[in-house]
Amino acid sequence: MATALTALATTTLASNATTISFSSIASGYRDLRLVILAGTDANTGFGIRVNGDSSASYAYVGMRGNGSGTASPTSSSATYMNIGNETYSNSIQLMYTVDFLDAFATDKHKTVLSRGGNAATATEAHANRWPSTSAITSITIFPLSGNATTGSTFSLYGVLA
Amino acid sequence: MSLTLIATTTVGAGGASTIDFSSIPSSFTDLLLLVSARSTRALLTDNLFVKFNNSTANLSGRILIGSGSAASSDSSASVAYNAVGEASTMTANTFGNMSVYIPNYAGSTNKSMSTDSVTETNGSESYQTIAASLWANTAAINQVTLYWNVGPNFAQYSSASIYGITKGSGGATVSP
Repeated sequence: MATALTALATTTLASNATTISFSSIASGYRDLRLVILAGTDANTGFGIRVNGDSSASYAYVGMRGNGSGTASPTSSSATYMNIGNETYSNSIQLMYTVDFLDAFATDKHKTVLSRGGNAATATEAHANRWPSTSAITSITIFPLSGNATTGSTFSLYGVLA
Repeated sequence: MSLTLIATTTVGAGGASTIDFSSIPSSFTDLLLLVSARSTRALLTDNLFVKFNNSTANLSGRILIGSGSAASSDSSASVAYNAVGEASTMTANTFGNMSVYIPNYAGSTNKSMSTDSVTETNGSESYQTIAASLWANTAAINQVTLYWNVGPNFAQYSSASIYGITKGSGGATVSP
């Protein structure tokens, strides 16, 4: 019986880093799941780009609650996928799960759904779209400012249909 | 295998005050908890919480709630906010659903969790929530308990399954 969820790669930062990249991603899966448990040193959350695309072509809509209020950010011309843009305190552990649906399909744009946040600040969810029919071959995660801090972990899984 | 079923349970006749998974092995990386639940509380909803190692200390959470007519957010410094759960005056024979992801559960840092949940009813008032919660304790998690804010019980046929997820390599290159 095929394994529904397969671990592909993982890293734990031995020092601060401005970007974390997954490349040479094995195909043969339907979706990809990225699990992030990380901190930053610049009071920010994280963004994601795929296949090295930094053009203003990503679209997203999100929602977040900080315990007293709500917000719903949106953009149709972002330079990255938004998975968390609340202002988080440094060194607070942020947690995200990010699902890249039909990541290897060549007949559709890519939908990426994220959930996460931190109990001390906010909970967030975002729906992103990368308007390309190319298969995803690389994923780059970066803090919106500063560094991801030592000890942060990033793990990638393949999900079979 | 990256996803392994650790245990599953279904509540029998008479209900149950808690759903408890104990003696969880430390051999996985993350935990995934999937729940289908209904409270016996005589109202529409009952908050559903998760605690670890039978401890209600050092729990906190923030939740975002959509009701079909409004969005709201709440926080707690005493419970790990997880879900607005389904209770007994919602449509009969329907159960709310909740998914809880707990990364690095056996590690030596504080334990975060992310929750998605929804109630089901044939009516105009229903809820979808997301929550970020924390157990500020560096102990490895070996017990996971579900419990209601009011209850008293999980209704018969409520169910829960807990899975272990193991990180690994060999399917992609990562840097650094």
